[in-house]
Amino acid sequence: MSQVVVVRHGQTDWNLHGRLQGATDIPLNDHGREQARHAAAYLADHLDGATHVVASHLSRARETAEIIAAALGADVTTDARLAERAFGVWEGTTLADRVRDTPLAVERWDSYSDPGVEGSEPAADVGTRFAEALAEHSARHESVLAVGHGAAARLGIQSLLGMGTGRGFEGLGNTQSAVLRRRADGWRLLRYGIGPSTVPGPL
Amino acid sequence: MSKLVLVRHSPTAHNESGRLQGRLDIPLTDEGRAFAAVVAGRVVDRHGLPDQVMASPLSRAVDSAMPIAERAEVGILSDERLQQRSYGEWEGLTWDEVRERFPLEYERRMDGADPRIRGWESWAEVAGRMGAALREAGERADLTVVVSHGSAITAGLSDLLGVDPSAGVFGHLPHGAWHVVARAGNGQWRLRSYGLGADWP
Repeated sequence: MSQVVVVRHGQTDWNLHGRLQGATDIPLNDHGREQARHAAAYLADHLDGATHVVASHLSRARETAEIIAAALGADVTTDARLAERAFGVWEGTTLADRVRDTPLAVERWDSYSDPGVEGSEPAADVGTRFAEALAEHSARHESVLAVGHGAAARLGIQSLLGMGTGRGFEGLGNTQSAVLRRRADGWRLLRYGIGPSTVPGPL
Repeated sequence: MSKLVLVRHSPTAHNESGRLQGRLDIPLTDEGRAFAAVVAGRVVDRHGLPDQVMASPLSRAVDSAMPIAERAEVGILSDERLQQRSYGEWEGLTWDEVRERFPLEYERRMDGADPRIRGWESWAEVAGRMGAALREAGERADLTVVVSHGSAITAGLSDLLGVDPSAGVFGHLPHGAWHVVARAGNGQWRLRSYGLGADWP
């Protein structure tokens, strides 16, 4: 029986100020590191050094993973397929910026269609790569902990569950977790959005 | 933004002895009643006081909702559509008894499909009534706590999210644990949390 825990990285300054990060590599802030330490303490009560910890290459995820892995006594592996969805020209913008400058794209995004702005990654592609990464790591390890990102984790988990990358879940809040279990004929969701009671960040 | 907190009732004697209840009205045990009070504290700590508390008319749901309604100083709104699935001729049996007496239909059920037995309410039927009740509840208040039953909650959640309830995507919800769904500006319901209040799986 294989279990995958997906955790969203801790807070960054751009999360705090509502700026979309996407592929932009913004580091954790001090509050984010503290969040990661709290999450690590909680996860260490339930997971151990046998857990395969993997993170996207983006520093906010990698550093969160390092803090958690240290508490578990595990190493950290990097997998670029766990990176956040690229949002292209939207990276660095706030919701107010986007509503002002690209209102139609915002409407599309709100109804779970691709915003289609320059440089943004289609949801289906993100879901597929994230899900493939989870499936591959879990095929080799009974217990996996993957540190990822809000939009990518939502899309990847929905893909893994066979729900498609349209509507379904909100994004995880900073250091919130999801737990999935692999069964003979697919995956099952056991937990989602558990952990600190933070308002989910932008997708 | 409207939020629904979907709570599974606390344990009864049938839950403890592994007997299917369905529409049978089995009361909470004393421990179940005490646990319901603990759950009420957890729900209110996490989400604040609800504007509206709803429950299936079965006493295990009503009595689980009571401590939450008391804290919020509201009455419990009863809705028949929030009842547990009808398990028909399996009600009162343990799963071992079901497997012995209805081996083929037991297999169907374990695969997530509807067994073909008298009185069984299908996924589609449960999902339809639960979805309607939940959507209406979401129209009336910003924060609603709904106390219902395992299969009913899975079916209702599936209906709100547009997921096939027989696909087996959603795992076991322990007693006193809950899900949170939120309605976006465009009217779509989205899952915010699954299995809050439960121990680590």
